[in-house]
Amino acid sequence: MANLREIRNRIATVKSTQQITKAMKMVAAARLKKAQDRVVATRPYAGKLRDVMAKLAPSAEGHPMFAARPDSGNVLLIVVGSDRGLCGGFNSNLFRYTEEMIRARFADAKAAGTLHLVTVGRKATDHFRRRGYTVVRSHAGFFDKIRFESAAAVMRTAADEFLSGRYDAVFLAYNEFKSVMSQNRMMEQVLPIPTAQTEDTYPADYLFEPDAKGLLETILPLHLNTQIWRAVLESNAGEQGARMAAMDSATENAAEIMRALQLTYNQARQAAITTEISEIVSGAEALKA
Amino acid sequence: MSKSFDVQILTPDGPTYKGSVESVRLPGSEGQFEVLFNHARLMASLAAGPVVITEPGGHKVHLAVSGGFAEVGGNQVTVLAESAETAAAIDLARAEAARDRAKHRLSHREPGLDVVRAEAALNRAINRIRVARG
Repeated sequence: MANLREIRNRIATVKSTQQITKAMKMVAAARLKKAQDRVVATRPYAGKLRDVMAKLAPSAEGHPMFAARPDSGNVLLIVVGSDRGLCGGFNSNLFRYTEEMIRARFADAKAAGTLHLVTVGRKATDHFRRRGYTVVRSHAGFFDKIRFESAAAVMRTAADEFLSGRYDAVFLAYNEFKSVMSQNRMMEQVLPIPTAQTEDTYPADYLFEPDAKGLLETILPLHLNTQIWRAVLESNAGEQGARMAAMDSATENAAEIMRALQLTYNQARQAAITTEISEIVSGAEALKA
Repeated sequence: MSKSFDVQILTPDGPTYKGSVESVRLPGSEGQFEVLFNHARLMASLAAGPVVITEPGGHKVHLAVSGGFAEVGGNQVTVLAESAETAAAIDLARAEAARDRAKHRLSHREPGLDVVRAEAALNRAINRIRVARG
């Protein structure tokens, strides 16, 4: 009989777990919708900015933000992870990829201790701290309320450090939203700004106020801020998608376990009844004799 | 007379304004200027300041932008700003709090204070308050 009760308890446990995973899936689905809307909302702005950047790039000759430095020993890497877990391989895939890239490209800097990390999201901080990377700044609770200003602040500090010569290059690693089920792991060079090869420049009859160089000064910060803003939004959408997928399969898995337990339970119950009947019958037989 | 052209104001959080207008006044970094129908092609950087849009029929829309730039060409004006709010959408209490915070920071200079940034924050807050009050 104890066995029957045990199984009943297990079924109840699995059931309550399933209710939680189901609720989490629903919440993630709602958040995913919102996150996707934000990604879409920022597109016209980002698209126009990219367009203008490309056209102005030729007048950027010699600008400190474009100039590659011969000595690229001091590297700053911004990693955008998530604050919460339970989202499948969302974080671990990105971190593994990032570490592979570090081994491939910045092995020297890492050995010399000149590779510094800025982590966004608790999971990223925990992961890289534990593995002995130099995390110079970490941002937790970033995704509770995603604001452009807070994303821009991360980039502004990095840009200041780049211009002051503290770092020779700034990179950004994040998950790009591909579909609900999958993310692209990205690692982009932020500074010095990679120059795109374009023939597309502004026609000569354009008036510039103040001038092309001065305009560039206005546009470069906007460009950098947008780059990290996009990374944060993409990553957020990817996180919600990954969580939704993870919780969906957890819910399904729970249903599977419940089916198996129910079967065991029914069998055990049937066995118990059979034993009881045969006991009664044999008792009656004994009385008859 | 009513010759109208298209204006859109884009921010990272999405478009704030989109529409056909008669004129738009912009806070250029070299001084305010007004764009009318058939304006010459222009790229201008903007300071934090008010944008005043006159819609056909004379209705005026006031916005506060945080600085950015504007592209004018082919009767199409595109303003890119990191933040832009219509007068009605500005939270006056929050703007005043931001102004007081920035003032406090500038008057009690702690070591390591980024003066340029604090002054920019003060300017933005004052601009938002001015636009919200009309």
